[in-house]
Amino acid sequence: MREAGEAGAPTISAAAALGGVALLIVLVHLPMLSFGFVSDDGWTITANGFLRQPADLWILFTPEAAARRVPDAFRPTLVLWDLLTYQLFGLAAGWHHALSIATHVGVAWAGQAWLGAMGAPLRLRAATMAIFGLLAVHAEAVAVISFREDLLAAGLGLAGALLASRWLRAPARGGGCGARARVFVLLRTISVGLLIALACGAKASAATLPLLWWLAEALAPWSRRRPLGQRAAWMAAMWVGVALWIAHTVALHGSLSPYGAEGNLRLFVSRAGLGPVLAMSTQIHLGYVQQMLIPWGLRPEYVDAGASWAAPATLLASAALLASLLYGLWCGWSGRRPLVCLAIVGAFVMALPTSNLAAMPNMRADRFLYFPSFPVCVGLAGLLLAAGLRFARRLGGAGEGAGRARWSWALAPIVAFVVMQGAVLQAQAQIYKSNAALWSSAALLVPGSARAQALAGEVLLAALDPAEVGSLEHQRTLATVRARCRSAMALDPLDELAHLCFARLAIAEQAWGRAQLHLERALALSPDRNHRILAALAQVALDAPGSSEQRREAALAAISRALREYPYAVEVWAVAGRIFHRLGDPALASEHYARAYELAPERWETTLWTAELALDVGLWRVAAALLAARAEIAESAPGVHRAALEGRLRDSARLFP
Amino acid sequence: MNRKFFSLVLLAAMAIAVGGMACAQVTKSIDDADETDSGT
Repeated sequence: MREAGEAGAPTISAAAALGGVALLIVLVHLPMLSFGFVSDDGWTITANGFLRQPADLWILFTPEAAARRVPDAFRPTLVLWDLLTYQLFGLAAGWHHALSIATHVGVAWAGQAWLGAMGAPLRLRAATMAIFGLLAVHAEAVAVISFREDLLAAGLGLAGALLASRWLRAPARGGGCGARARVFVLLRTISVGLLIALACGAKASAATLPLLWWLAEALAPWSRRRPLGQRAAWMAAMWVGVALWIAHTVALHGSLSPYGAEGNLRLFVSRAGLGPVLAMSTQIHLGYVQQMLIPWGLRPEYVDAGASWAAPATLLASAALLASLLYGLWCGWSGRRPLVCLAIVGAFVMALPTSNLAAMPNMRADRFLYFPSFPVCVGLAGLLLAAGLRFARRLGGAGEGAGRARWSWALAPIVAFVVMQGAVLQAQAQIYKSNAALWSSAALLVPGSARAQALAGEVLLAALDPAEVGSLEHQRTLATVRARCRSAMALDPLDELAHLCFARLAIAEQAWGRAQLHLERALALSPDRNHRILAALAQVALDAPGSSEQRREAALAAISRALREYPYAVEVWAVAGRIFHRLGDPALASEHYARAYELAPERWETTLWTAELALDVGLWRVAAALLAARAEIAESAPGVHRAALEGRLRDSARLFP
Repeated sequence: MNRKFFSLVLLAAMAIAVGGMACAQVTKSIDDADETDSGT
């Protein structure tokens, strides 16, 4: 890593330096291999039947994807990636985490390679890679499998930027003119445009990458600036990629936003208006800067809120952000500190898609910083290396040996920063190891979040042991859940999760009428992802007060709607099978169980319920054969359910030999 | 030089592991304290 002008600096090959940094990033992230599926992983991976239907892939590029509620249909790259990885790894969480870690290393590698293509020295590239790879605020994006959308967007986007910068400096094969050269140029242009389209198709955070690329090439901190026309041509190729993504989103949803229009209660802007949201956004972004520099206050959950433009915090945040932007622009305009300009203005540019100018279901999240942090990491690497060199020069000394010792000291600031960030990253990542850890931590760290309170209650209910019903421990858990539900309701009565929490509690207490009321209220408030509510409503309706005909009609209405609106939601098919099973229609029950198994063979509920159906119609041999064939799946069911089924099977075999 | 660099990498990884455990410990102690307070 010899630097020009640094006498005595030891040499190290680029492969060793970058390989060593990549190794460090992998080592620090290794504990994540033991983590499970959490948060949105349920909606997008574990219960997403679309991933098991590769033949339906074509609908991703038609409005059918939105009509059939394919999870994250507006992110076709991500869906494609999820489908491929599901086909490869199934639901083995460890492999998915390994892939996330590899992707994260790949993103860091692509970032440093882009800097290298623009002529950045090895030391800066390696330092940027280390900081980006170990930045604590990236814990959420890397540790949660479904948040690999951010990793994919950054990786594909940086790969596009790398190719554009490399080809900007390399003439096309076949000479400067002629048909062959034109074909090469066209292929290169298409490749760059396609990579940017794919990046945006993974997450919209890549949509402003062309601006970052332009800024870096216009500033040209490490090499001669390329002619304006050539730069404009490559940026145009990138914008074509962005336009492709926009066209796809509009084709699917009929608008630029996949989150629907006004009235979507998940969008805080629908409740408070754009002004207060943007005022709060200034505070949020100042907080982001602090979190990147000093990793304190990282959270798995934030409460959406508005703010006044006259509030001191808003004024302070706005002034600080504006001052830093003006300073960054001045650094670039004067040409004195192009790296500072790239870091500051680049971060502003990359933060635009998640800056709440466009309405989003979450105003703030750690993962939103994944891509925007890249230019910040470049700036931090430059700053820490410069500080280290100054520090090393002050140490003095003479001779070759002294020079090497000084050089080692030059690395001290960057090593200290990376160790501090990496340590916090490892600790922070532990929050995401399971849903129970995630939501109990979220409720503790962010007690003002209705979602955190409601979901903390739900995970407690999910962990209830059916064998302990009626015990003191059981009663205590129900009381804790009730307190969580009440907190959620007091914090945000318009959040459907608070009503869903009460509904789950009522189901646990077998208070079917109360459960039905809460589910209906949750359904009225929830703008999307209603499959769980509808499935629960259908099941509860069969036990709720009313005549048998009323109950039957209510259950069938709810499950029919669920099947129509969410044809790829696994639990909907399983519950439909259960409903027909209970209504005494074994043919329809069997048909729906079969579809549920097709959409998610890993779910134990489907297998056990199918075996129960066979027992109920007197086919105990069929049930036994099914359980033997799917022994591994049945093994994953809770012991109490498995034991009950095996007991029935034994009785049937004895009574009807 | 490569050997020294990789030693530095391993040393950093160990320092991060120790620091990570210490951070997690601090978080846990804060959580426990909070649990005790709110439990009464």
